[in-house]
Parts: sequence; structure tokens; C-alpha cells
Amino acid sequence: MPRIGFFINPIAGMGGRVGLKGTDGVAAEAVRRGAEPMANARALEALRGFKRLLDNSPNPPAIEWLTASGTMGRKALQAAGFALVETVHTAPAESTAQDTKAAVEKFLTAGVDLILFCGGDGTARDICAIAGEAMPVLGIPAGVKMYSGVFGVTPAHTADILMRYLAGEIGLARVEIVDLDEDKYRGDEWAVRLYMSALTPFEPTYLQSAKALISSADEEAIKDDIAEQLREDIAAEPGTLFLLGPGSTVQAVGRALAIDKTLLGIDAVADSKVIGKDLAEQQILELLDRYPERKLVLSPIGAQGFLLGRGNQPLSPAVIRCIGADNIIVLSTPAKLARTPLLRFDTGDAALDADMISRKFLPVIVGYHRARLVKVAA
Amino acid sequence: MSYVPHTERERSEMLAAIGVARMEELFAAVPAGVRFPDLKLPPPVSELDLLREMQALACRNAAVEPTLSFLGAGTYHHFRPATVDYVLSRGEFYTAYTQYQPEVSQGFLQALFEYQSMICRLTGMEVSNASHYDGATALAEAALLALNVAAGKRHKIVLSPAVHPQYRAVVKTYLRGTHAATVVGDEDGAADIDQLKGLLDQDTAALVIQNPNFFGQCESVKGLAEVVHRAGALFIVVTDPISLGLFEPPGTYGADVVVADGQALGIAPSFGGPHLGIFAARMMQVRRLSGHLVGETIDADGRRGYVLTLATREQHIRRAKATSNICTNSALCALAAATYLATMGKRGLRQVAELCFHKSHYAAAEIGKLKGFAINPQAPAKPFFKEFVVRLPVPCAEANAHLREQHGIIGGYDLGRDDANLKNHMLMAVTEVNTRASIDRLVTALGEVAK
Amino acid sequence: MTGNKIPTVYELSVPDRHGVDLPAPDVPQTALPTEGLRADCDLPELSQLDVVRHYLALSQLNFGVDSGFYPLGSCTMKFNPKVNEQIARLPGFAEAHPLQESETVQGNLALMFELQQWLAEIGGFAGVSLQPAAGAHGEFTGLLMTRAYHHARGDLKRTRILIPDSAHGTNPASTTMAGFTAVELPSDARGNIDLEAVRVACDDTVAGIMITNPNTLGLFEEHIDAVVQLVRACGGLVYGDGANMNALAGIARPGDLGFDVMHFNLHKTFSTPHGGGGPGSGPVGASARLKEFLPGPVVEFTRDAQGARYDLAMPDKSIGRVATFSGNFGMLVRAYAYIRQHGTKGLRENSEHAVLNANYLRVKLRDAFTVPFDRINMHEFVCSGAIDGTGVRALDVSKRLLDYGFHPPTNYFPLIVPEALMIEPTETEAKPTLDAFVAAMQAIAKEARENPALVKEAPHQTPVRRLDEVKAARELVLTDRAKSEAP
Repeated sequence: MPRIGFFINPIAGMGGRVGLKGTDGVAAEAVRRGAEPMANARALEALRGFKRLLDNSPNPPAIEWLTASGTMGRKALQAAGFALVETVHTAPAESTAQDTKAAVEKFLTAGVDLILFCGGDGTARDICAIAGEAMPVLGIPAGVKMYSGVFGVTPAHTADILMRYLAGEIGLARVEIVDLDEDKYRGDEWAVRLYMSALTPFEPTYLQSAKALISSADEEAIKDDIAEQLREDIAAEPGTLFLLGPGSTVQAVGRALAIDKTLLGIDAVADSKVIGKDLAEQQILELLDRYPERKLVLSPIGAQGFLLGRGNQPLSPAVIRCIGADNIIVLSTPAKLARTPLLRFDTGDAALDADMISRKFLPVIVGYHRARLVKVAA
Repeated sequence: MSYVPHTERERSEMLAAIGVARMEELFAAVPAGVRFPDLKLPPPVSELDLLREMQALACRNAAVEPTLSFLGAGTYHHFRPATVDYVLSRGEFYTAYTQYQPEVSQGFLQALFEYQSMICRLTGMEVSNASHYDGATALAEAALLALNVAAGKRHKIVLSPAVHPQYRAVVKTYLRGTHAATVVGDEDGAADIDQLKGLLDQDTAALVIQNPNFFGQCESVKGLAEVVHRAGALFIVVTDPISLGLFEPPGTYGADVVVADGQALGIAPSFGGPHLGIFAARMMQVRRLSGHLVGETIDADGRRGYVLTLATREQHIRRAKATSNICTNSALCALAAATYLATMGKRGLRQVAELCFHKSHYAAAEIGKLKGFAINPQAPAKPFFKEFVVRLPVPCAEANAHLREQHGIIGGYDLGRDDANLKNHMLMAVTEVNTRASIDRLVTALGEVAK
Repeated sequence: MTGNKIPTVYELSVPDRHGVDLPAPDVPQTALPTEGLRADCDLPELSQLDVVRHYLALSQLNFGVDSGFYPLGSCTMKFNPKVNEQIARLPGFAEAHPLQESETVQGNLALMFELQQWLAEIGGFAGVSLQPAAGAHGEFTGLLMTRAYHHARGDLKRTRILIPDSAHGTNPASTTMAGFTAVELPSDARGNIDLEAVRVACDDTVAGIMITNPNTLGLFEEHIDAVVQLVRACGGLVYGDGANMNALAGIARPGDLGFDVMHFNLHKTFSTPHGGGGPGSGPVGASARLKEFLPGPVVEFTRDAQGARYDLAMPDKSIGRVATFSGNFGMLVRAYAYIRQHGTKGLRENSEHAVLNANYLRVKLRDAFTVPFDRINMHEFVCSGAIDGTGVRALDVSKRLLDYGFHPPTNYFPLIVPEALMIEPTETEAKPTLDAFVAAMQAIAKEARENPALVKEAPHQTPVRRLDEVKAARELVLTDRAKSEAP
């Protein structure tokens, strides 16, 4: 019997409605401006959709729910008609991020197979910080910002993904938890920051191996294919500096290349050997001085196709300009691209961004000897 | 004659439903400059006239009386039991597509599962795919598999010159696309197994031999697999499935991959195709096999059933330098082979193999008595199965013209076509369909050639 | 029917039973070798009646075009004329040995020569090789020719092949197999190849583009001229995937559209039976500049003092052989007979009615199912098989169609349409059949809303119910006695 931890951040999304670009730390201000809570309505939509799918299923799994009191979960589950609901955390009417953490801790102690939550990037961060990188997490989108990879596209889509995951039709994939720095965002600065990775039920890459025969491929196997391509490219260019950027795809590819790549850091490889790890801007600039031939390996971060954002200090505009836009290699699994029809640049340097946009399409390596042209967002 | 069933009335109703007035409007997207070309094709004929015309065309070929044909070299006249064509003529089988909807394809799936089972037992291997185009493309895929196993660390295929020349040609064509792969060993037509062993090294992905080889002779395979495996390479054997009714299968002497052309198993020569590529291997390689695989499973009610399985393995194949794109294969020919094997059974196939052995040896002995003729002159001591090499005192073309014009006999294959050192050498095949009388007639006719 | 309870040939086997008798040796026996023999080849032992009943029973669990409507998109499941089967079995064709001297097989060579000419005429090409054994085999062949063409000009830097994202899955696989990198191009909002993407992609590393036209959405590429021009201008070649030729024969010639090389699927356009997954036949046509690279041998015709004759010959710069002998001759005979029976007018009529039938189904089904590219299509079209909010997916609709006695359309392809159902009725289906199919589809859409479990559990009327594909892949029972774990 699957056990699901369910949690709603009741104030998620309130800031957006009243022009606050997020609710982190400004909930009181949002309420003052007249924001209505909307997360419960979104959560209920997803739960009702999920209930309908269960009712339509020939062999529905019986689900045991663990949740928090009132608007943090229990109310919505009951309204959707679920019976097996255990409240493991009781929160005050005015809940805080502390309640999120307390509820997740109780989910972990009681033992759950997956955490379903409703909120935005801030909620995702709070949950994943406690749940860690090994607990499957799935988000019902209700926030202002949903740049992380754990969200379904709509509440109905989230329900569909959950149903298919429980039915064994789709597996898990590693995605990024990202967040905008809201203080900067309110000041119209776009600083997407990568915090950690998480496991989430994910529509896999579908391969059409023969006519009328579609099979889905394990995301990790696809990343191995991409790594094989990169290995070949690195071997084919002796003396070239390869800078490996942040993100779970580059991290997995690094692992396949036997490089212990960190999620957030920038590592350097030349002649198939690691020559620098977790580099700061200055260290990268020094390496660029020594290597006239250089490539920067990036993959879209999170769910919105960001390749470069201002959140990444080591990859500053000076570094990118020095590397040259022609020397950027982009990697992605086809499944990730399916969620990201566009690639985005926001480097903080208008000229650099304009140069990337003017290219209209960028080639993305999606497998061994396979690439795809993907549109660059204007 | 067209097979379009529409009446004029139906046509107008359908156009109206679509919302166009005339058929031509459906093709507005086709550039006007190239639309509706006036093709220069002959005017259509009725079914009755077609049949007459095709019969006339077929009669422009010299009639082949299988009893009087001694041509083999990869395609053979063997006895085909009537059950085979009976099964092939079932429309439920031959007008179906690949079994992507298993609920309505159980018949074909089970037949292919049984084919896989029988091929495994026949070859002594653990897994067989559900067919390839022909023996040569199966061999090319086996070479790609070996390169794939080597994961880019080995690049060489050592290929015996006693493998069918067209098979060797196809392997080379296939490897044109594969980076850095080379084929060695068959430059010297006389190279024997011991010389090939000398070519095995750290860069070798596979050794390929044919047994019985192209010249009909049995290779000495004792201890060969161990030598190949010590070098870290795969051992690929091309074989004749009929020979496996009598001889120990390649699985027994250590083959990693066995390929063959299955035409001999109940399929008409049909001027070279369609034939059947047999491909069998060890379970270790199952995720690297190309082509379809049928697996046993159960349905929602727990009943036994069959499905195409392991479809995702293509993605693993793609990772290394080798790959396969096979989609349509030769399923109906696999069904023919399965019916053949089920009909012949263990006793029948043994009988066929023994008949091939005895008749070919009788023919070889009789031809060998003729003045100016020699049998297997390059390897007189090697055992042979159903084919043997004859050195003639005259050019092969001359001999074959005499056989055909004076006796209605289809003579052997002119080995000088592939190897200048084998001028005046002919490869002859004798099977169960050749009678003693037809063999004696051949011997007489060859005797006349020498005079 | 009550389930697949048919025993396997090994379960039916009884020691010492036999199905056929062979004559005793009529020659003196030679002593068998003393070593290297096997005791037993381990085949089943059945009577001939056992064999006949076994395969007849199996055939009855199978669905073919002869059984009913088979709208499997991109596979062209049209009627396979019975006369062609009769013709292919004529002894003059069936008993001919491929290595006979050419003077003894002038009928076969004449047939092949004329078929080469006809296919060249239908496709607008300068030369044709009949050797490739299937469509994917033809793709691989065409790409090797592309490679050989560039290499022969000393142009070694062309490593990329452009492929639209709606292409058949075999296209990228063939590309990698031929040593190229596949670069996928996005489609635009109308379902065409994104012209802007082609412009960005074209440079001196492009070896060529693979185009399926009409594409797998069943749409004629509206910018075909511009795409061809862009690719040719950068020095690339244009490869045509002829899988959808059933919409074009007699309507337009790919050669006239600027295609350099294309494979034909004789088992689609020219009615040779699919055989449950082959044998097929995938002849390749080539433009004047690529003709010499065709695989061989091909048939040539000469007329001199001795008279006229046909011979096999290797093109000058041939990439070599891609299969033994001269291709799947038995399939060539059937395709020849088909073209001979149709002529120019018949071929055009076939394409027209294939397109008429597909458009008719599209307009009849667009109320019950979403058609993402709802404009005049060619021989097939794609709709979405998902019924919103019910959890019913394309696969469920397909399985339910089996209960209604129809073979389902192609599922989940092309990948750019989620939950795709690709429907290709072909020209040989009559209006009442199409109407019955429409009624079934509408009934299923209704069932999906009223009783989704019924649809999700389908099929109910087939010999077996949904099969456990996960178990099959995990436990890997691939022969009658292998119950081994997957390695």
C-alpha cells in the first residue's frame, strides 16, 4: 500500500496576485494588499483529478495519506474524498516555514514513499532541504515561481503523473531545485539560483525504435549516451579546456566520465583529465589565460530552460565573453527538452544575451551522435 | 485494374463531407509545377492478361529441374514439404504487420517463439532473434555486435577467406559507416585457420569462420574457441542449418554468435530472395542483439501469452560505435523455417543431412575418377558435407554451357569469379533432391567435356 | 475465443513420431566422419496432421489485412492481390537459382530491369538498385551512398544529417549506423519542418537531410522547395524516406522535387505482403549525380550484334553489396505485377483514393478526438487518443478497437503529438468500412466518458487480454526451456 506524505503551503502564490513576485517573507504584506489564498484550490483540483483517475482504474492502489492539519493538507484530502488520512503534524492557523519542516520530518519518521506538495519554488526548497535528494517529491504548481523540475505543468497533469508513477508506468528522474532570489527579483533582477537536486516522477524519453514501437528509456541511460558523446569530443580535441557547468545533467555526465562532479560547482577537464574543481570566477579566468581553446558545457537548469542566469557567480559575463558564445556546448535529455521548448539566457550582460538570442536556435546534444536544434527564447 | 472499391456515388459523398468539390483539390499543397506527372509506364492489363504475361516472362528463363541442378554456393534446392506452403498461404499470417498488438498476434508470436526455440536447439545456442534479412546481413550485424561488445577498444574483424565471398562483401559494406573498423584475413584466399589465429591480437573484436566453409569443407574447430577467447575476441560462426542435422552445432564448440542463411529450411531459391537470416547467440549478449525477440509472459488473467520484448535494447546498442536500425525483417521466412523444422523433426533433418553427405560423396568420387578432374585439390584430406570443389580441365563456362545445352543440367559455381587462383575450379552442390541417375548423368556429361 | 492454450511444438512432440518420409539413399553409402557428429539435433517429433492443425490453430489467433480493417499509420496495410502470390510461385521464378549464368535467367533479369526503369520513372530518378531488403535497409544504403558521394569529392567534413522531429525512428538509427550525427529539427506550428531551423542548421558540415514527404503527420511539406534549396545550396544531399509514397505515386515525383536518393517500400506502396514483419523490399532510387554509387549488382541492358541481353553489373563507384544476390526477388515479382496491373492511371487513382479516405476519416473523427493539425492531409493523419480527465489514453482506445474487430492505428507516433493515433486507411477500403470504423471510434469516446474502466481494461474479446510486457522483459523467457533470469 503506497504511503504518500501530502503537504500544502497555504499561502503559496499569494504574492503574485498582488504584484509581489513571490510570497517568501512578505506574506503579511500580501494579505494586507488583499491576496486570497489559492493553494488549497489548486491542491483540491489535483486531488480530485487523481481521485477520478483512481476510480476509473481497474485495479486502483489503496493509498495511505500522511498530512498536516487543516489548510496544510487534511481539509483538501477530505474534500477530495480520501478516507485513509492520518494527521502527523498539527499547525497553528498562521503557519510558517517551520511547519513545513516539521511536517516533512514527521513524514520521514513515519516512512512515506513519496511527498506530494502544493506550492512554489520556495516550498520545494524547504521540503527538499529536509527530505534530501533520495526521497521522491512531486509538486502541484501553486506558487508564483515554478522554475524547479519537480512540478507538474498543471494540477491535472500532476495528478496524471502521480497516477502513472503509482501504476509503474513511469519512473523517477533527477531534476534541479532552483529558486529566484526574490529580493533581487523584486528589484527586477533575474537571479536564478540552483540549490540542490531532487528525485521526481518524470515522463521518460520516448524512443521510437521501429515504426509503431515506442519504448521509454531510463534517463540515466540517456545521460550515459550523452557522456559517451562528450567523452569522444573531449578525446578528439587534445589541449582544449572543457569547463563543466552546474546542474544534474552535467553532474550525471561527469559521473559517467569518472569525474566526481558536484551539482553546483564548475569543474575543468583537459586532455581527459580533471584539472580543477569547484572553480571560482578568478580561477576560471586564470585557466582561460592558459588555454586558448576552450568549451563550456551547460545544460538547462530546472524546468524553464535556463542555461545561464545571474545566479551563477563563477560564470560571470566576463567569463562567458572570454569563452565565446560559439564555444558553448549544451546537453540535455530529450525528456527534459520536452518540458523546455525554449532555451533562456539571462547573464546580466545585455550584449551577451542579445548575441545568444540572435542565434535563434542552438544545437543540443541529446544522445550519442544525436543532437537537436532548440529555439532560443527572445 | 485497380483495387479501389469506391462507387461514383460514394466518392461524391466523401468529397462533400470533406468540403471539396473535386479530387484535385486535395493536392493543392503539392507544387503545381510537378503535380500529376505523365508517367511513362505501360498501359494497365487485366488479371487474366497479367497472368498470361507473367507466365511468358517466367518461361523466358531456362527451366530448372532441381534434380538436375548442382548449383549451390549459398542457395540450395532442397526438398520442401507441402506443409510449408500451406502455412505460408494463410492470409492471417502473410497479410499481417509486425506483432505490435500482441492480443491479435498470438499465432505469429507463438510461431516465432517456437522458431527461436528450434533454432537455439539446432545451433546449440541460448538465444535466437526472430530473423534477419539474409545470412550475409546477419553476419554483418554479428560483426557490429562484436565491435559493440569491444566498446570502442577493439576495431578489427578477422574474416576467414573461406567465408562466402558475398557475405564478406556485405560485412565490408556495413562497416563503411563504423568508425575505424577494419576487416583482415581474407586478402589471401589460401589462408587457413592456423594463419588466421596468428592475426588475433588485442585489437581483434571477432574471428569469423564458416563451417562447413564456402567450399563445403568442415573446418578443424577443436580448441579454436579457446584461442579466440584467450585473445579477448568473440567467435562468430557462419553455418549451413542442414549440416546441423548431422554435425555438432557451433554452440558445442564454443561459438559466441552463430549466423546462417535459412533458405535451405523450406524456402524456395526464388532467384536469391527473400531468404532468411538466422542469428543466435549467448544470453550474455541478449541486450546487444539486433532484430525482434519474442518472449513468453502472461496476460491479465494469468494465461500464457507472447510479446515482442526488450525493445529498449536499441538504446544500449547506440551507445557504442556500432548500432542497428533493423525494423522489417524476414518473419514470414522464419515461419516457413519453423514449419519446415516441425515437419521434418529430428529424424527427418538427420535423414536429409545424411542424404546430402552420401550423395555428394558419391558424386565427388565418380567425378574424381574422370581423367583431368580433381576433387578438393586444395584440401583433399578435409571432410566435406554437401558441396565440394572440382578442378576441371576446361574453363567452367565452357563446361557449364555443355551441361546445360546438351543435358539440361545446371552446373556448379565458377570459383574463378571471386578468386583468380581458382580459375577452372567449380563448386558443386549435391542434395537429397539429386538422384543417383541425375548424378550419373552429370558425371557422363562432365566426361564429355574433357574430351 | 477462450485464450491461447495452444501447446508449443515441443509440448506436442512424442518420441519416434514423424511427419515426413525421405527416400532411402540410392547411392553407395560413405562412412560418416568419426568425430564432430551430434547424437541428436533436438527438433520436435510430430505427425504431419499435428503440424497442420498446430499452424492452422495459430493462424486463427492472428489478424491480417485479409481479416479486417487495418489502419496502421505509415505502414500502408492495403489489399495484397492474390494473383501476385500465384505469380511469385511460378516455377520459372521460384526455382531459379541466383547464381545461374545470365543467359538462363533472361526472364528474371528482364523483369528486374523493367522494374528498375518503372521505379525510376515513378520516383523521378536516374537509376535504381533493387538490392536492399527493407525500408530501413534502404535508408542505410542511401546514407552510405551520401557518405561515399562526399568522400569521392574529397569532402570529409560533412558529418551531420538533418532529420525533422516527426521522422520515422529508423532515420536517426540509420544515420548513426552510417557514421553520421543526427541533428533533429523542430516542426513549425503547421506541422512543417521549421524553415528557420533549416537555415540555421545548414553549413559545410551538413551531409544531407532526410525528409519524409508527406511527413508522418500525413501533411505535405509546404516549404519543400525552400528546404531542398537551402540544403542543396550548402552542399548537402536530400534523402527521401519513401515510406509515405502511397500518397505520391502518380501525384508528384520526389526526383522532380529535388530529392537525390530515396528508398521505396515495395511492401507498402506496391502491395507486397508485410508477412508479419517481412520479408520486405526497399529499392533505392538515385539522381544522376548519385547513380554510380548505388549498391549492386544492378541489371543492365545491352543490344549488340549478338542480340539484346540483360546482365548483372556493378555501378562504377558502387558502395558494394548490402545483401546477397539481387535483393528479395520474390517481392520484386509481386511489385512488378502490381505496377503492370495499374499503369499510370491506376497508380494515380490509388494515391487519390488513399488521400480521399484519410481526409474523410479526419473530418468524421475530429469531433470525437482532437486533431492537432486539422487541415487537408495526404494518405494519413494524426489525432490525439487521450480523452481528457478520464485517464483513457491512446493505448486504451487502441485496445478497445480490438474488441470492435478493428486493428488499431499506429500508437504514440510521431512523438511530437502526445498520445498520437496515426490513422492510414489506404485506398482499398470502401466507405462502409470507414463508416463502421468511425462509429466504433465514436462509441469508444463515449464509453471513455461513461465507463472508463471498460476501456482501460480492454480488450475483452481477444484470445488473450493485455499481456504483461514488464514480466516478459524482466524474466526473459525467449525459448521453450529458458526460464533464466535476465543478465
